[in-house]
Amino acid sequence: MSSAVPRCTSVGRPSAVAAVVLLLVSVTSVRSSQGDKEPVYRDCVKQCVRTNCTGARLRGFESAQPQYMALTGWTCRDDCRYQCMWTTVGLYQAEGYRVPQFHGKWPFTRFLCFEEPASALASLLNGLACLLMLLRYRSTVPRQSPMYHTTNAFSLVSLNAWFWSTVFHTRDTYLTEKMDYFCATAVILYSIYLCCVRTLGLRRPGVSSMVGVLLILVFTSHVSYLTFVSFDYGYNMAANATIGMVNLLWWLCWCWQNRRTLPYWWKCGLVVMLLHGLALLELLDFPPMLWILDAHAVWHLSTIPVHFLFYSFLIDDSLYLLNTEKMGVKVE
Amino acid sequence: MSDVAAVRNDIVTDEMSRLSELIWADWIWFPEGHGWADLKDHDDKVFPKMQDLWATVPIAVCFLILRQIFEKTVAVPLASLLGVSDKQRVCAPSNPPLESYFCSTSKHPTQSSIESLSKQTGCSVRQVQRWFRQRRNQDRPCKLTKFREASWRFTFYLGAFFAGLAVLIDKPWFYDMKQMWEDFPKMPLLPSQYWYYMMELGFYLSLLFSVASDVKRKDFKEQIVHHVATIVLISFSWLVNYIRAGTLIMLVHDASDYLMESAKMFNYAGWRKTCNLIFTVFAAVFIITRLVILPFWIMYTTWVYPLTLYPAFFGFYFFNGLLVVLLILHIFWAALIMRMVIKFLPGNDIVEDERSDKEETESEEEDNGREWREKSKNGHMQNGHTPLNNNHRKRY
Repeated sequence: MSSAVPRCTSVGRPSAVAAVVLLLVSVTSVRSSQGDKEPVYRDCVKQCVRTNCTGARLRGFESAQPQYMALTGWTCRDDCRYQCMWTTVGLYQAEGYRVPQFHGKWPFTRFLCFEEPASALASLLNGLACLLMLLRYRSTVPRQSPMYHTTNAFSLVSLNAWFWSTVFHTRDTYLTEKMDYFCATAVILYSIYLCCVRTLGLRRPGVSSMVGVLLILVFTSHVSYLTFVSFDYGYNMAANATIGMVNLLWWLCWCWQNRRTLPYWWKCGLVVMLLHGLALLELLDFPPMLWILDAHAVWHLSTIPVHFLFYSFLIDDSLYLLNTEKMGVKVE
Repeated sequence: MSDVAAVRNDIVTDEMSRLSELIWADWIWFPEGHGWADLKDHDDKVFPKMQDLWATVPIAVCFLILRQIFEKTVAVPLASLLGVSDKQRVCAPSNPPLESYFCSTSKHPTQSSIESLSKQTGCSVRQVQRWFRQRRNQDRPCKLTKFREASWRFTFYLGAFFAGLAVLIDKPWFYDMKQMWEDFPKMPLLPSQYWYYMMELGFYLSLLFSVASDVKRKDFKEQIVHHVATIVLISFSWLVNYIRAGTLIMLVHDASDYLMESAKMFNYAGWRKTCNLIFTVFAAVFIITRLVILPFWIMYTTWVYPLTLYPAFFGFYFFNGLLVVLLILHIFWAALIMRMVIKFLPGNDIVEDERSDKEETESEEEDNGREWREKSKNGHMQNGHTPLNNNHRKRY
């Protein structure tokens, strides 16, 4: 069994990759807002780091820190920032000013190691709902259904996005932020692909393949622009809104056209309307209620039931396709 | 070298597949003339499959999360509304040698150990005994924790009972149980049955996960046996399509659970009369559903009736054997319940959760000696609530 040929190892490359990944994971985001520009905040952080994050005090901090905090990358400096953030918020409120943002985000009460506990929990529940309905889909729909594999792939893309969303809301770093944003875009693009396969690709597979390639190109250029040119939040928002519109209109047109032939058409219509309507919640921007619940968390929480409706539609549709295929009817 | 290993690998995989063929053989799990082929999905009909059981894992995780949220947002305000309050506990004074003995050797030292510890620490024997009693009380879960757990279980069992009713109310086998074997084993799976099964399995799985952190009661081991037997029974009935029987059995069990949990909630809140009333109703429902309906109606239909349709097969014995295990546990619990009901018939006013560890009080120390002597004289269990009671029950 043992081979005499020595394995070719390049020691240098894997450790360099590891170093880059470690760097990406640990570097927190560099956005800047009113709160962290505040001199009170900056002085507080400087003071805190000087006293608590050096020498013997640092060692004391590291030994007292619970394991899960250390594992999720909470450094002494991050702790200082967190404490000073609340000092600054207290001052702002005492003076009667509105609550400021820090590093592009509202102040949230930390729970264990979770930076934004409500959003993290909501993302986790979304992921679980998606997983549960995927399992339901797989147990109800036979493999021979034309949309089976595409729907499976869509679920996996969805699950991946919810995973990164949970991680991002747990710990906001350079890497996790990128992964969350890119995976979310991937879901919308795959949803367009799913719609294309359903509406055109069943009769003309060539068309859906071409659209698939086009979407991959769009995704690659979008990611490349954001990574290598500039991470522009405004552009990202506009891009996602645009492809979201395409997704919405395509699904809506198709299900309106088929409203007489498919008894479950309303599920599809309701799902897309709800998803995009609820996304408008993102535009509301208010400081988190009880320092836990902000508009983003409310949005994620509200989309949990939508998974059940969407997969119910997919199951009905896949079974319908299978039946009509058997009966030899041309599918619309 | 590699060829030999490859051949060995082949032999092992052959053996494994032959073994799994043996374990999952048609003649073991199905009556004559039927087999796994009957359960393949075809046409529009969906049948239960082993992969479906994976769905219970995300549901269990969901339940664990929901429970935490529920306990913090609903149970705690409810507890203060109902007036759940904890007696102030005296903390055992810090004493390192006694503490190390408590943590490493035993929480209930024998008389000779107490004497040696007393010599070691310089405290009197009574002081050492008191220290151990106070230290043991410190570790007992407080009423609020017990209330929170009971209120979560109450909510689930209540929901599960009504869900079960909703699933079964429009089915013919709810009214004529023999119909559960109609067209067996090719009964198609209904979505309501799928969700009912998955929710129940997910809940019991979540209970198994959280049993480590839940309140430990005296019948802790029996609880674990019950959970494992329930999960195995439900999963097994899923795989071989005994789903109709399964839904009936689950409904019968859920009928009394929510009553017990609500009685516990009122017990912790101190509402004695309400607790006693609900507990009496619970005892009646428990006995009717689990000691009358379960053996004489359901087990009759799963044991006696099928033999008139098919010759016996291994799966038949296995399924009914598991039901017998559950029945024995029910008899054990019915005995405990009857003892409690008798205790609070007029005359005796004391009610505790029979399975819980009761806090030991000062006065018991004096009574201890007297009652022990009386017991050995009379030779039968008294109505006392001494620690001796606890020791006796631990033998189960």
